[in-house]
Formats: sequence, structure tokens, C-alpha cells
Amino acid sequence: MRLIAQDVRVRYPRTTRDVLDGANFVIERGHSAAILGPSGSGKSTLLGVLGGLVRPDGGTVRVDLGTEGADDAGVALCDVTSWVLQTTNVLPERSALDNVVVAALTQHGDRHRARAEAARRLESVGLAERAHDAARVLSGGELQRVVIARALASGRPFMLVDEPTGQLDHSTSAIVLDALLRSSGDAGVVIVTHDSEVAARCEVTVRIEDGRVVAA
Amino acid sequence: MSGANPRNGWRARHSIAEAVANVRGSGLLAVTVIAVVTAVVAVAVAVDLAAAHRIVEAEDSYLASGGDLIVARPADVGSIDAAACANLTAVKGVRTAFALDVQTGGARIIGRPETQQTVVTATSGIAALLEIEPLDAGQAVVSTLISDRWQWSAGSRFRLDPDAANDLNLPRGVLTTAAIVDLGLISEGASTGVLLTRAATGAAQSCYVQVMPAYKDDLMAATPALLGETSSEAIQVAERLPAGGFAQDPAREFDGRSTRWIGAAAGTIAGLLWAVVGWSRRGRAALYASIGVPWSGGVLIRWTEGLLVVGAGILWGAMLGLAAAVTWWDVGPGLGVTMAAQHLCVALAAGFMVVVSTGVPRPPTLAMLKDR
Repeated sequence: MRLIAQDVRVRYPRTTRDVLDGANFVIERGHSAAILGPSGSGKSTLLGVLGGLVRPDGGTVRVDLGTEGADDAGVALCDVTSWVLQTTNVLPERSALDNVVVAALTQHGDRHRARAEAARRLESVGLAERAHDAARVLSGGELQRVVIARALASGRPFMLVDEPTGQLDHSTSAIVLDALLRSSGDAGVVIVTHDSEVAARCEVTVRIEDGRVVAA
Repeated sequence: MSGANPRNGWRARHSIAEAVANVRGSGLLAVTVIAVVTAVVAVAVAVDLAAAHRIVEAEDSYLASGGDLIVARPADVGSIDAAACANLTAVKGVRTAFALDVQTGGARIIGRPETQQTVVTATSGIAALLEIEPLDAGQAVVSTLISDRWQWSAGSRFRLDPDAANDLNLPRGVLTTAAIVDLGLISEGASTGVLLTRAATGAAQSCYVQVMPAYKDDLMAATPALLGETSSEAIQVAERLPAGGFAQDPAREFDGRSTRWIGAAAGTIAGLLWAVVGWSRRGRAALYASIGVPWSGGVLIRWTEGLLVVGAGILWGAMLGLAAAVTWWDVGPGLGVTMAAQHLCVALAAGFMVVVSTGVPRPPTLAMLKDR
């Protein structure tokens, strides 16, 4: 299964410049890719396009199921992608486990199975002991691992990650990155980052400048 | 990891459970919003109940003074047909009707020398107006002024000595006081009178009609014809109370009171308050969308959260407003409960409409997530 962006063009309202100007990108399930580039180059926008959260003004983004006869066009991007962002988006008053259960429910529907899956994912990122703590009392690194567990529990085959360690210190960044890459299993992981050390942990690195993928 | 995950496992029950958990977990925020909504709705309900109470009290006072009476009299010559007047009781919108004669100084009271007693005779319909049992022959109603003057009470007996010139055919036997009533309701002249019943036959000076307010104008117009008005004997119909400062239309005043829709306004404010909270937490909507909760599921979460908080606040507010109005302004429980229930329904409808409409728009997910 692959996630494919071809000649993607995006211009935000009330601007005169294309944030993405014919960008091409492919990520295959089970692989990891880092997108590097300066601020404003269109990295996060490309991620948004891949996840179906930003509608491109031109070009195509599609899922290739890799199975002959499969209905690729019937697959919504938001149904195959999960998110990990720089800012830790959690429900602060709810427990770590509850935060992950929500994502697991979108996969399983059954609450008992979802709770079991959520607990397993929290354990895989090293947070089993903090599962029942309210998210608001967790540290930044722990919260980011909750978000990773949540993305994994959603069962989506691609994980889109935007500056996951941007607000963390060096040692915590390493822990989070380990959790992310070690537990991602067979998910395809796309990481937008400024950090070359993070990029070095990925199998593929691409650069994006002025809205175009200039090196892969 | 599963396959392409074409089927989302999220169900409506998950949204509702999520909303309940969010409200329970939101602690001070939910409590604060509920408290503010409760206060707004309570003040609104109490203010309108107080306004309605004032109108109802004024109406009661107005009706007690004869505000729902219309009086038909010959315009110039002639008289009123007592039978036709009594028959008006069967007309739609008429509570009761009776023919009435007032004879000022029409008799003396035996044993009370030098008295010239006003005598009022009326057909049986007057009992309904005075809220007394119908009078038998030999019974009389005594006005409060006469009762006070002669120290009479129910059961007191007296005899009348009709003036030779009067034409009321008054009984000469012993009369028993059946009730003591303020006859000033009928007219100023009757306020010192003794009331006796008369047969619904022959001619009368006037016809009194107690009407339901909604039918008042129609009945004023129709009464002359119903009483058999002719071109030579015109009948004049007027309200018992004079127009001007005393003239009231309580129903119109009640329907037109400025606080009538205050419940809807309070409900709208409650809904908007929650909408502001929802806007400040729009990143949360984006969060659910990014996790994979379908748009409809996210909308249901927002709706349920809003309905729980706004609904609880409005419910508490209506109850608190009712309690305050009943306790502090002596609003009758019957009127209070009815009106508070109406305000509750209207406020819920208005508040829920705002919650529902503001919970639908899809936030720009990525921007919202990065803004958090």
C-alpha cells in the first residue's frame, strides 16, 4: 500500500504564492520518510495534503492499495492516516488511557477491545504505569508518547508526524523518537522535521524548498 | 495494523459516551457555565413571572370591580326584555346574564324608621356573578354597607315596606339574609341595596352580561340585536366600568408584556455562551477529526456536550426562577409552574437551536491542531 502525491499545488486564501507548487511524494507502508526544509517551505502543508486535511488546488493525492482490482478511489485519506503533531493535542482532563481508547474505538468499535488495544499501545511506548493518570499531569515527553500510542491505536496504515520533538529537550526527544519508530510496526511513517538527527533515523529523507520536493 | 481501514468503527453511542465523559471531566468549566446559565435563566423566569403576576393581580382586581360586565339599557325610550336578557346566558362567550332593576329608596325596612332602602331585583343569573347559591323566594342578599349599618349577618331576618309609588312588586313577607355581598360591583347605586330575585318575564331597566374577555367586542356589538332592538326602541350597550384609566384589557396586556419572550432570549444567551466555549475549544473538535472520529461523530459529541450543559443550566434556572418568584413575589404556584414550564420549553428550544447550529461547522483541522 502506498500514499502518493503527484504535482500537488496549494495556495492559501488571500495569498499570492503557491505553498506547494507541483510537489511529488510517495510513502510506502512499513517504511519511514523524513521531510526536511526551512520554515514556510510547505512541509506541513504537504503533510496536511497527504492526510486529507488540506485540499489541494491542483494535482492528486491518492491511496494505492497495491491489490489488483481493489477500489483505490473509494479510500478516504483521513481513513488511512493518523497524526502526531508538535503541539500535543490531547484531552487534558481525561486519562492517558481514555485518550488512546478514543482512537482505538475508530478501529474496533467495541469498547472492551479498544481498551485492551489502547493499554497495549501505551505499554509499547513505555507508559503503562501512567495509563490512568490525567493527561494534564503528564510531562511533555509523556504526552507526545500518548499521542504516538493514540496514532498507533487508530490502526491506520500511515502515520503523519509534524515536528514531534520540536518542544522537547534532547534526551526526551530521543525517547519519543525511539517510541515512535520502534512501535510503528508496519505503518508507514512520514516525519516533518528541522532536525537532521531525526531525519537520519528514517529510511528515506527528502527536502522541500519553495513548495517543491527538490531532493529525495 | 489492519488493511486500508475502509470501515470506521466509531458509533453514535461512542460520541454520546465521549461527550458525557468530557462534561464530567471538565470540572470547573462545566460547573461555571451551568451556574451562569442557571443565573441568567432564573432571573429571566423570575422577572417574567413577576410581570405576569402583576397583570393577573390587576386583572383580578379589575374583574372584581366589574371589568368583565357589559350593560345594555334602552337608549331613549322603552325597556329591556327580561326573558331575552336571561337567555343571553346560553350565548357563546357569555358567562352569565341577568335583567336588573334598581329602585333607589323603593322601600322602607320595617323596624328601621326613617330609612329609604334601595332595592335591587334581578333574574337568577346574578347568582353566578356574585358566586352565591341561587336565591329562593323569601331570601335576600344584603350589601356589605347595609350589613355593616344594621349589624346583619347571614340568617338575619327583616321585612320591607314597599313605597307605594314603586313598581317592583316587592314581597311583603319576612326575608332571610342569604348572603352578604358588595353590590357595588353592579353599580354605585346598588352598593347600599338589598337584592331580591325576580322572574325572567316582563320589562327591566337594564341587562347585565358577564363576558369572557376574548368575546367582549363581538358581544357588545351583538347584544342589542339579541335583546330584540327595534328602530323605534334602540338599545345602548356600554362597559360596566367607565373607559379611561379604569379600562383594561388584561388578556392583551398579558400577551403583549415586554418580558414575554425573555425565556427565549435567556435560552439563546445560554446557547451562545456555550458556543463561545465551543469556539475556544475548537482545537478539540479538530483533535477528534484527526484521530479518525468521523465528522458526524464529532458533531454529535459537540451537540451532546452542549445539550447536557445548557440543558442542565436552563432546567436549574427555570426551577430557581420559579422558586424565587413564588417565595419573594407571592406568585401563585399554578400560574408559576405553568409559565415556568413554558419558559423552560422555549429556552431549551432556543438554547438547543444555537448549540445545534454552532456545533455543525467543520473546523479547519490542521490549522486548529497547530493552534492548540
